[in-house]
Amino acid sequence: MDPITAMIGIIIGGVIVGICVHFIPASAVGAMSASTGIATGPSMLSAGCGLAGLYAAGYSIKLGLPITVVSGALGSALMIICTMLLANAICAFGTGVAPVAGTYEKDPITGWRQKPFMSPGTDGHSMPTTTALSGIIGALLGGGGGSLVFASTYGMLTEVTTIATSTIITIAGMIAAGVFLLNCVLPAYVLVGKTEGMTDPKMKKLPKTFVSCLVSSIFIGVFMYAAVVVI
Amino acid sequence: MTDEIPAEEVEKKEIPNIKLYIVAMITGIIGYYILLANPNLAFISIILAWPAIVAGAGGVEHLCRYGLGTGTSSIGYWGTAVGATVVFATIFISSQVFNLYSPFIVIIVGTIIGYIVGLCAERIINMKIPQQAQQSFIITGSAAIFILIVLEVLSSGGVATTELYYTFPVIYIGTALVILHPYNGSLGAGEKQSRTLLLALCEASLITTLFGIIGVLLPNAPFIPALGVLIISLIGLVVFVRWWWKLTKRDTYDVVWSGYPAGVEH
Repeated sequence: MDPITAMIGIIIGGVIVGICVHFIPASAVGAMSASTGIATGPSMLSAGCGLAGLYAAGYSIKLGLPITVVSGALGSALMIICTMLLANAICAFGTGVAPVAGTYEKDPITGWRQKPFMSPGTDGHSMPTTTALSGIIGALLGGGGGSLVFASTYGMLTEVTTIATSTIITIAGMIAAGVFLLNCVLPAYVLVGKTEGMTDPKMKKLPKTFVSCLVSSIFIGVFMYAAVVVI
Repeated sequence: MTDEIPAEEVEKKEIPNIKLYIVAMITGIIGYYILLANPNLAFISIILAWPAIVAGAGGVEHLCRYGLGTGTSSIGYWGTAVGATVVFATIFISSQVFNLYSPFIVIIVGTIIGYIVGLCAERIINMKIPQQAQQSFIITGSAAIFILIVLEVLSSGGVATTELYYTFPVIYIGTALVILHPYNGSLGAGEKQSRTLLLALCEASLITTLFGIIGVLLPNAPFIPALGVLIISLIGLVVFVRWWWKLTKRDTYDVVWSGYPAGVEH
């Protein structure tokens, strides 16, 4: 891969990773079934699903950029689907609460009413259909973005250096994980620890995430390019 | 119950993190050059690398006291992500060997990227945390210099061995944990900077013990420097844990007056 294209790939991947965090339903108070979303911080959940995507992408890195990105996206989505399924099962059969969201009256996809099933004093619990779909979209974006960074770094290193392939995969994976963690914490500042996914009003703050992730990704991308190619 | 100390007085007693950072950078650079001069003196370098973890933990403490909206773990991982990415990319600057300029490159680039991200959070996202940009670069710069020294100890000049690349994830996550955990482990009633930073020293020596074990077991890694790191880290761990335990008992005395008094109906 041409180093300039790879640098642009790192920047675009970083921005997509930042955007994905807005879609993944996560909430720390979800641990007490007091709010819709998976029971952890948005950034850590996104990082988890992104790293799962990177594992998936690592196996298909030699098959070209498109397959690597799709593989990463699917690996990430599979991870988040399993997490949401189990979280819903625990809430339904363990805690005894139905999956409901606090931000809409009726589920836009199924049309099911939400408010009557919400426990008093909470903002919803676990993941109803639309929220789950939002999580899957977020995971596809996050896994794809992370894999794009991974594949771009791999492409840049194979083009410029003469290191063994297995070594390049290791270091490209670490750098992709670094870019992922860097970009998924900034949206967490915007979300203040809780989001319901694409139906959450905090989606309006997406431009802030976009600009901040773009700025930080440009710095990381340019430094990568300078370190590997220029100096 | 002891008398409550006014908040201003507590603030005055605390060491500003920027001072810790400057000390960590100076000791880190000296430690790196000692290592370049003679790899067998790695045990001195690793002692000089510990202040970086203290400064990083101080940055996490400052930021997380204000309620970030993200967890303490996130900010620790984020800082180490920047630091580690910078160090890993620096490897390629001079054919996979760290050189005379490497510490300056990692410190300057780590600091700039940390500052820029902190500035984004301050200006674009409008976080209301004082000195956010400054504390952000303290975490990233500290993580960068610590990882650089650890990698130099384990590689002894050349980073180009495949076995060493396999240790990157351990170095990465280990450093992240010791930067984020001191505050996470000390937060709550009676959290004090002295105890938090001493816990950071305990954990820094603990993680360098692990890196020493890795260095001893790793093929192609220099044995004597790694053994020196292992021994000095174990000694450091014992000394710091004893010291930290004293401070813990001191602070426990302050906060023990909580809950219901014994023998009273409630």
